[in-house]
Amino acid sequence: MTFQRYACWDEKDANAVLRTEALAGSHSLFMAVHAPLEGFSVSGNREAWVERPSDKGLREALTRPELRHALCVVEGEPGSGKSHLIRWLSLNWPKTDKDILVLIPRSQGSLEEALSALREKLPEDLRGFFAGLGEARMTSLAGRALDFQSKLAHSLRKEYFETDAPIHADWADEWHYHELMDAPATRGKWTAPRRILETLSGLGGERNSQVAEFTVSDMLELASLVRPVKGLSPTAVRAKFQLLKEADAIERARSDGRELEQVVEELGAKAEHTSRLLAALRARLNHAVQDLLGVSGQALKNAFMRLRQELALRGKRLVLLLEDITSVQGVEDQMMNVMIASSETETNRSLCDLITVAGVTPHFFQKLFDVANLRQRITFHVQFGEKGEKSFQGMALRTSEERVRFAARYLRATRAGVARIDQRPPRDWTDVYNRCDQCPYRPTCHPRFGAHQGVGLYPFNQAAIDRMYTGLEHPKGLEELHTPRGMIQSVLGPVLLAPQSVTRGEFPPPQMESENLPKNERNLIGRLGLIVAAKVQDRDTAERLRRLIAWWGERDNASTQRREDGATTFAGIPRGIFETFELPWLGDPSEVDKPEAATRDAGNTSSEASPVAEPPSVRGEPPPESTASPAPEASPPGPDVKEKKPATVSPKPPRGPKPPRAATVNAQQFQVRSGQLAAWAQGEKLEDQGFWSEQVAVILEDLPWRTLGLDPHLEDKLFTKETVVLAGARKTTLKHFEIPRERWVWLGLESFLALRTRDEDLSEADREGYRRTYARLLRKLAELARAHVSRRVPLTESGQRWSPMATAAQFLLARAWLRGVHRPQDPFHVQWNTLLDEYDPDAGASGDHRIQGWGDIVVKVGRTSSDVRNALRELASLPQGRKGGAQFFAAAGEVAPALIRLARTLELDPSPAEDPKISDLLDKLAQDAPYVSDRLKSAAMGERNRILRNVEKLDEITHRRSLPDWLKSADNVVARLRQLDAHLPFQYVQRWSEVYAKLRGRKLLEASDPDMRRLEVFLSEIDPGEVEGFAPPEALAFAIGAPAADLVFMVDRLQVANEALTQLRRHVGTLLDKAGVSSGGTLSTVHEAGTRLRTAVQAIREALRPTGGEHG
Amino acid sequence: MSLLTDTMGRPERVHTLLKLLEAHGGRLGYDETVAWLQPSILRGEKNSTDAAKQTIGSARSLGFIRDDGNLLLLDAPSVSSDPPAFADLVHARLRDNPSEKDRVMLEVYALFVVLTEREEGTSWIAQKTVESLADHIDIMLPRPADEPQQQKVFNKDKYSTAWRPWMIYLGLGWEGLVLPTFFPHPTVRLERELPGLGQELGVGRELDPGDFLRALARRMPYLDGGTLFEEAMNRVRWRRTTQRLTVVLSDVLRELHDDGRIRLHLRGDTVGATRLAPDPTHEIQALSAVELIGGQA
Repeated sequence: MTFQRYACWDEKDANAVLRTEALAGSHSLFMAVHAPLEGFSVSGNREAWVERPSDKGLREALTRPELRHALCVVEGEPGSGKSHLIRWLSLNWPKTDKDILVLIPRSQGSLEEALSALREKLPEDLRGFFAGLGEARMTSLAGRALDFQSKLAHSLRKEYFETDAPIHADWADEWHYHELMDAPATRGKWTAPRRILETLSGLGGERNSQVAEFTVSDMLELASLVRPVKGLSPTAVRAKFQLLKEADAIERARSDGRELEQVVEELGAKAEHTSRLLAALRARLNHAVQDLLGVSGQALKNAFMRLRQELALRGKRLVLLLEDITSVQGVEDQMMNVMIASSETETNRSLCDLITVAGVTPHFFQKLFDVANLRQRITFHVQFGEKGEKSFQGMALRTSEERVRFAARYLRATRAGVARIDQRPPRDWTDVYNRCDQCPYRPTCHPRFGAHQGVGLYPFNQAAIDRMYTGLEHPKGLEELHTPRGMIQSVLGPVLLAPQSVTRGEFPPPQMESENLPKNERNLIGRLGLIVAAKVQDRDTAERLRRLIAWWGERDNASTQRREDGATTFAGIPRGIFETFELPWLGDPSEVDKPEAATRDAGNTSSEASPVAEPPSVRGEPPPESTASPAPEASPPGPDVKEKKPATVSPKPPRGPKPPRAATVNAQQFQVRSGQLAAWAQGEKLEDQGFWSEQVAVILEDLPWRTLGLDPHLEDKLFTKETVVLAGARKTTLKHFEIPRERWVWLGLESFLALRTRDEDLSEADREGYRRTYARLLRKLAELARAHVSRRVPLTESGQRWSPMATAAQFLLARAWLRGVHRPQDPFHVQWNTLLDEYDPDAGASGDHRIQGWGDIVVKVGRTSSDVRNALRELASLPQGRKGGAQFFAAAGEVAPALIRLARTLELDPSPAEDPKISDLLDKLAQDAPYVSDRLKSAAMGERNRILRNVEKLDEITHRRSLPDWLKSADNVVARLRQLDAHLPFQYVQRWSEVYAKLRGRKLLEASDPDMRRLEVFLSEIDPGEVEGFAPPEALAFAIGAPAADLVFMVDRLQVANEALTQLRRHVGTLLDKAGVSSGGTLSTVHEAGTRLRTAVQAIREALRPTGGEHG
Repeated sequence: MSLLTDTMGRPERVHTLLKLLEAHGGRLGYDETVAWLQPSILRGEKNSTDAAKQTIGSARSLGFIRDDGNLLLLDAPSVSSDPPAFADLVHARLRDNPSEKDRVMLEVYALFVVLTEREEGTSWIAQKTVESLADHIDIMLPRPADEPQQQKVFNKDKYSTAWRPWMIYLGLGWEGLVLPTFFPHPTVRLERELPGLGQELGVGRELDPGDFLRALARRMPYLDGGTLFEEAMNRVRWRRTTQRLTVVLSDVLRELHDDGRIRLHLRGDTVGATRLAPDPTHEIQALSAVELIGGQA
């Protein structure tokens, strides 16, 4: 006998037992699922009377003889158990002649039906008091909506009300808002009136305590509808534009997702009309509703008062049990008046005693009891839950134990069936027949699925009940679903209403995933999804497995483990459950269950209910024979099964050093993050892109960049959390490093998160698998990063990849040359050393004394040289480890060829054609390098030429005599002339003297002056013809080696001096010419004489020179 | 003088040294070389040139340079600027004619492959401190012939600062935030070997797994069936009782298959097929043929 395809309950019974309308079922069924209600809080002006916060405790307090008047408010979210408590009070109220018990059920949630129920529950002779109130009408909902809007419009006129008008009457009248409200263009199109009426009519039984009221959204809709309206009075037109202006302001301000009510409140005067109109309409809503429904609030109050007077005369007490007070919305104010009118006061002495128990939602409670005076009149304030920061937190089913206990009650009743329960009405749920007691599968079933007090949780298990319940979430966020009603409607119902899915071998069925089970909770995470995909080809089976694992197991645990009771689990689900549902076992095939242990029972007591004969109608299907088809085959067992060590099923293997824990993600968030990745991988937009960019940036930073041949300097610049983008997250540009939407990214990032945040929780197999997918991520990311660097570091015009390091070195070296720090032919390792020296060894050499182009380069490079040097140090560094080390190690292999190339050609490597957009500094480098490259050769050649010209000029002036001789000789001549001629032109003598003084000051006068000596050597050794033939590098070396500054200085000075001497010669010539006229001599005569004399002296010297002698 | 003793002679440094020598026509003075690699201005107070000297030592050990008096001569074929291409050169040198002391580099790697297989994963690495891991490896390594009494040939410094960077450089594994201190994962290396395998075996046709694995074992002898792998098995004193590929190789083959770099075929059932190490997340558990895809770099 195989425990498969066995449904131990009937759909009809499930339908009856699981009806969430607490008052709709039979008394027997109600008690069959009832368990004492406890744990709620009680306050109020007589809270001390409730000795125990339980259903019985409350009943004891409410039924105390001395209690003549009580208003008991039961506050809780829809579905939290208010109705159940009130229903229980109704069923367990002491039977006395004194009390007239009137139960007004939540029923369909409409006022008309509430009044109808009230009439029906009264003794026949008292029903007349309520005759004609809220009788059904012939008008359609659409017709009533038109009437409702029209009434609201009229009610905005000041003269509309006989008595005091509600708030903002003068204001609304002054602005002619009735014109806007009743404009033909809005009639039938404004959805608010119809929605409110629908809500008041119970929403077809789905009202769930919703409050009908106008909202800010309604005001915005109204504004959009009145926009095209014409033919309004000038005042109404102004009101329209004011409303439109405010609507725009509200729309703009709402963009950050805040509540509209909050937005309006914050806008204050900027949304005054909206705010006032909303308040005015809310204040007039009840009046309009009453008019529409034919229920006058005053008439209702009068009817109740007359009823109470009559009952007082009869010596009766009225017990009014109002399940949901929102069902009397529209007349709630009058009902409140009725309920708080105490017979103990003098004015109400004629009224009967009244005990009221009314259910109310937290939202409506705030509306009803908005003043302290009213709240003080509450006798007992029962609260199912407590107020949180934003919402009311339910108190029911908070713990797993509570949830299992709750589910077990309904499972027990469902299996017992309606007929059996009705046959012998139970006192409470423990009194219901437990079908498990007779079930032949129990020994198999309970260990597999669990049980509570002898009631099997099948087809659920504890995890399924917990997972499904805690995961409940209204798709639009409108309702709190963590309530007993939520458990019934969205957890138990969808499963128990489909027993055929079990008998057909289709369990778990698709419909078990109601819309209230979030889609992002349904995916299998990481390796689990991969395992299902790899092992199961059949789509339906794969989907059943997904549902089973997602809700019955652990959707992020892909390991095979052994439980304490000996059961082998995969994804936290015992192997037996896979067998029961005929699903393939995905775990380690070599692992087999140990004999099933004693019953796993979530409760602490066994069911000892005596077996009762099972009526045929509730037997359900007999236990099936072993006819079920075998479970679909999973993939063949993996090899090496026999070698498998027991450690592989151990949930917590021994560990090594712990990896670093993430600061930004914890294990609880892992599933959410994983869901984001899975959705992104399937083409949806990535949620929280910032987080994922940061994760990728962290991973990239962790790559061994140098070892991978990538430049860490570029990593800093190109791969930041701002530039890393996962595909589709936002529009990208060239600067972005886009991670493709590919499987390896999804799985790799998921692995990273799993290992980083959950490492200790992972099974050995999962951990190893995640490591492998993470390693794959590293490999692929490194490939991508390399490609991105190639893209971002552009090609030069020559097609080579631009090297910022090479360009930076060349850039600095060109400057060093032009400043005379080095000559190209100096040893390169020495030049390289200089480039890295931050102390700038020749800071004074600015290039001022060189030609313009030369100096321009020095200035240009000088502006950024310090920053470029720092960048070069970083670019060229090959550190020992990730954090570097004390010793700098240079990527000399890349620098050396660049320096050698520059020295050979005087051309810097080409820069990229376009701005590389890597960093400001490198971008500047790429822009400036061509400037240097374009000018370096011409600077070298130009400077060489200038030097040659200066040499030529000196030669012309000095006639190739040595400079000291020429200067001394000239100075002697000037001195002699001064002695001879008192009328010598002073200005020329002075100019000569100034030049002479400057040369002396510069130490360029005497042959013994070092600079003069250097200049003399240079001039004596130069071979202009040879120098003119130099190629640019040689020309540069020549220019660098030339005493350019002294040469320029000397030329400048001697040109001035020579001019002065020329003038003096003219002066002397003039004198001689004058004297020659009288003596026959002229300056030419002197010259000729001098020439002859010099020739004679030279002849004598030649004659006196000894043979082979060195000096004469 | 070896890669493990000259721990500062990291792969990227050796690569740049060779490029430096090449830029100087294949010969450069020892002192100049040191000055290039560690410029005096940035040596700090200790004026240490250890890193440069050890880098020269590593290059010597690999046989890429030799001494001629006070000159260093480049003794390698053309040195590619591309680091992966240089890694190919180093890998070939370590595989085909390593120096006596550098032979240990791939021997240790083979031990990692074998131990990962024996332990069914890499947690044995993660569970050990760097020191205990190095010791664990050391006791399984042979002592050099010239120093048979040498106490240790492998220690934590050699592991962390020398061996591991070289292995990562060669494309044989990873380190990282969430990985063990070294994660054997030779996908990059095998991918680099594919063109050579393609030339040897042909591309675009189904190869017998045995042929493929034998050729692979010659190129990557530390993997299944390779000489270093078999030696490591002996050193670990462990015999596998089943015939299937190792965890490390299986993962690499699956990865390259997923990337479209090779194709793993399974014709018919698994009888007679070469089984891979189990991976429940992958559809391929065995192969009957391997196909190398053409047009790869």
